Amino acid sequence: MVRYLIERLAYTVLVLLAVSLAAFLLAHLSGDPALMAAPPDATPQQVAEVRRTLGLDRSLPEQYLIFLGRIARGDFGSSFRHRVPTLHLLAARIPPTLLLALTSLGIAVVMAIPVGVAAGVSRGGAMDLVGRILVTLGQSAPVFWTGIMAILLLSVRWRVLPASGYEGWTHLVLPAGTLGLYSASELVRFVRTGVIDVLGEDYVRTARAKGLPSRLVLFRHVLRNALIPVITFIGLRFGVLMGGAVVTEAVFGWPGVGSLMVDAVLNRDVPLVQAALMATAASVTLANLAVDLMYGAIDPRISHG
Amino acid sequence: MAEAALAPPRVARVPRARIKLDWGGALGLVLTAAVVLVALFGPRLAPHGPLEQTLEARLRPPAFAGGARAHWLGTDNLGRDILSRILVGARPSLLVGLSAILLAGAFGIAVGLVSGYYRGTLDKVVMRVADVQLAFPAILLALAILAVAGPSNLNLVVVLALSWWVVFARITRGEVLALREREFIGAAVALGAGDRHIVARHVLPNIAGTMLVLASVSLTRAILAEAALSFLGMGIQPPTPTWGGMISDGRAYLAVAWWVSTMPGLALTLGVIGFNLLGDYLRDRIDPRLRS
Amino acid sequence: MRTCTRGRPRGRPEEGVGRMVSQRQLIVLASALLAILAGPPLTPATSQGRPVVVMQGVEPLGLDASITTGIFSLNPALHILEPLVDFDEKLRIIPRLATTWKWVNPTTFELTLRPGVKFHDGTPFGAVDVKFTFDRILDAKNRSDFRRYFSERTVKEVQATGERTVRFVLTEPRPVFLRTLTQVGITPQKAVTEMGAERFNRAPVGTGPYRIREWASGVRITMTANRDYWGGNPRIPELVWRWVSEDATRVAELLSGNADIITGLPPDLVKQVDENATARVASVRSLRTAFILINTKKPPFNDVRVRKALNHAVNVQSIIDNLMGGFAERVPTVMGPFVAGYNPRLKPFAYDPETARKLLAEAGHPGGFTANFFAFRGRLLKDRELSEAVTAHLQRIGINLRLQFLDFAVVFGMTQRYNRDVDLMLWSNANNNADASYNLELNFYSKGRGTYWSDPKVDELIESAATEVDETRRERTYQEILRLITEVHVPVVFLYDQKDLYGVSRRLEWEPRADERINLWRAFAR
Repeated sequence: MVRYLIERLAYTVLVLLAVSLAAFLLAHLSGDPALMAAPPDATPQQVAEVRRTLGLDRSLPEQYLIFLGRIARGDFGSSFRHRVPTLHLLAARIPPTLLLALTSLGIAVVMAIPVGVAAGVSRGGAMDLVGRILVTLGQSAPVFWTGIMAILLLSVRWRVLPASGYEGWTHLVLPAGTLGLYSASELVRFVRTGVIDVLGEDYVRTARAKGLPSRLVLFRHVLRNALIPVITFIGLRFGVLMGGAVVTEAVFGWPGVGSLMVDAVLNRDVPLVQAALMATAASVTLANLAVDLMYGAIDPRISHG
Repeated sequence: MAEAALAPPRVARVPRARIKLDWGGALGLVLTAAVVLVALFGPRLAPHGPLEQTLEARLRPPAFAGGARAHWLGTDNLGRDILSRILVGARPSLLVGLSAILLAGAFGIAVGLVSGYYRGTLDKVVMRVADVQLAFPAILLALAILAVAGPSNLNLVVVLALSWWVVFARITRGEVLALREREFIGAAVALGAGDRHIVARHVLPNIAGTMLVLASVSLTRAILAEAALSFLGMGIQPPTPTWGGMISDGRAYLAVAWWVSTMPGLALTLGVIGFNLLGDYLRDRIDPRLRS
Repeated sequence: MRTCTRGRPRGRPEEGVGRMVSQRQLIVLASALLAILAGPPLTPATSQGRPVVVMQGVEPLGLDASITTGIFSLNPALHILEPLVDFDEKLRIIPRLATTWKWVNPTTFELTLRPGVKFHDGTPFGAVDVKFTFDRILDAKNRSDFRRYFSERTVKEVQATGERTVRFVLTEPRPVFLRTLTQVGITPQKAVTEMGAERFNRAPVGTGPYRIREWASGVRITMTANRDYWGGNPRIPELVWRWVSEDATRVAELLSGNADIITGLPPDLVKQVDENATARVASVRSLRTAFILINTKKPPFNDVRVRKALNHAVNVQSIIDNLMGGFAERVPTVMGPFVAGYNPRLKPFAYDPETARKLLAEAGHPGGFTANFFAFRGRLLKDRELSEAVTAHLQRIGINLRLQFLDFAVVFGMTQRYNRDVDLMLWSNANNNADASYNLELNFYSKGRGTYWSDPKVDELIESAATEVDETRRERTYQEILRLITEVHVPVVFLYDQKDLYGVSRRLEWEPRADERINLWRAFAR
């Protein structure tokens, strides 16, 4: 186990290095970072000054090496535009991002598994069709549409939930619910397929033949196996969400990492882009590790007996 | 005994003839066909030009909701006919979506197959590459590339494919990993069957089900990804109408002119219902584990 | 050959892992992670009554009003820090931290400071702080946004000539100098030196009517009334600044009572706010003027007839009436009537597609032509629709525009460096300081950013007006410049002044201003 973890951690470092290079290139590739760090009414001389002060007049390889050197000392630089250490900005955004990711995924799982199992078990029947149409409705509506409709109904018309902000637990409901609904729709189909596949497996028939009660069969064998593609999907989704659910954050004014990063990219805020991408990369890689660990825990062909 | 182990697992399950006509499949076929037809002939069917602006007739409601008869589904924020834009917008939306998932699927499934079947160093390397790419939030990568390269249709397809191939690869890999532990694969290997034969006859058919589901999910996701990119200003550029772009542009008016965003949304929903139902139907027919 | 009944083959997806982690351990781990990382969100502590909540579109970049410009940063910042002088709502200069001022000689400006003012940390305010503030700006290392006005090129020296007198020694006469002082917040030497620039930028100490309580990064800024404010105790005890980029959500927050002021109300949602009992619409003509830059260095746009044709072909009034819902005012030139130096005798181009076609034909393009039109989204009110509408209008006289929406960073870059691909480009100008010099020196001056048009005669006039101490002559020079620009050279397609739209809750007594400033210390909320 330890060796495995060390191996994975070594890979993570490599991944982060690759990400840091890519982030560096990304931030420099078009538009002029010095221009965006200067105010909109800057004169060309002002822009030149800014370029010098921020070290943007050095050659790209030189800038990258300086950047690496600073990271080695734990210095992730200061945002050009916000003028505070990038870590300060990120640290403030990670808890809300994590909260939104986990809660929405939790909602998705809670909604998707019962519906997916029911649909898979009743396969071809009424429950299946109804479930699938509901799922489609949830899946085909973009998050911003559902989000704004939810706001119009629940915040403006009925005033039961707040529309935006990060002020209390009630503020989490709409964004996590909207996002969770969307994730749930996709997830249901995978649960359904997984259940159908597993119901056809030999060992399920065997268990039934042994005389085990149906429900026990379902939960112990079917659910676990059907979860393999689901776990993959959740793992991927979590990675995506840790990159920030950009649209959700924009609609609900949720202070997540996504909107910070979009803003940084669009404004060529080089240090912030780099730091944010590396932070996201780290969390995504950790999520992947968790998923792979879970494979082992879930697959019945791995456990004993 | 040997024969039994060689044959694909048989399933005597829910008799397929329980429902004479699969309503889901039929509906799926009809809706998908409708969407395809609109994509092909939309511009000819449109009653107005999709780019015809009438600033004096902005945000007019649909005919059935009290508006003028000339505009069945109302007008948008520049006075353009929404029905015409939906009809014309089907093609770019679908083209981009389809191209993206074909590209992503072809590459992703191939990679996932190879990676999951052969395991070893190849698998490790591929998965790490996937990790590096996944470490970049897809929407950010898309945004950055489009900001640099310009939001052309081709760039959009590439960017969407780039963000989705990993999902195909990973899910394929997961399925293949589980499959290769099954006896019939082991038996086939013991009998000296070549890799290509095993993949073609045993692996591919068994993953086809999941792949079909994934494909129909991906098509929707691709169309909605274009909508999300429009939300950020990087989707297919105006004035070309796309369903995703129209839903995004109309969202500011949801409170006062709901039809601008919701009509294209309905078109999209109907299309998605069609793809999903059709995809599930095909999956049920194709999956060898369910053949009696 | 294994049979089905006796356990499964021993292959695993991941070698060696499954055996080592039991399900229970995993669940415990996951729950612990969840508990640790997802702490409860912050809740705002409201002290006296409901705070007034201002919701803008983006987060401030910094609260040090001597370093960061941008109205969305200055609006909260200038409640904590104060400038020497300010504009009132009619855009007349009024005293703030300075009480009197005069030109000692054409290049030396002297101000007398208000007595008895203290910073929030108790230190008395004096000339040393003014000198300190401007010395910081003058030091290029601090990268102050205000270096546009205050750099070695314009200011030779700042002198604290007494406890309460300050002198600015300029490199040449600059009559607009007084106006440029209205946005610079005065910072305390002691606090900035002790805290360091970074910390001060997030939690400034000033002389203003509000003290900073907290800046929860990404979430909100809270400030409480300064009871010892020299101008009297503000009537609103607590202000909260928040930001949401989505227009529809900001409006929803206004309508549900969670916001008292929202900026950037879309004209199409005015109806929704009007019909609501708890909110109202407040609009004011902005100083910001929109126009379309023309690349006059490239044919066919080097021919003034073509440029005049463009102006005749765009139905600006229809755009204002229909697209902007009436929330814009036609201007014949590149600035509006509140800007000092405006020429009231100028007339806008009539909407006349016939004349436009004739002019095109005269210039040798009877069949029209194709051109690039670069625009951006989300910076100007309805910039997207505006660009699409203009494209449609020009189409009608045969000019086919390839409309491309670009990243603002890219478009902004095009104003700095000449880009051959640019034919037309959407642009606007905030007309800061309500003085013609700002816009003209920036966009129509070869040494400013006149990348797509400039004229040596106009250059000369701009330079002479910048240093002209006689008010009347200065004004007349600017009027002449505007006449040349509008009637003779026509380097842009003239559009309109925006009308800023705000949503305001009915419990708040406050009115907006043309310079986009939001001042709340005299406002009152029931």
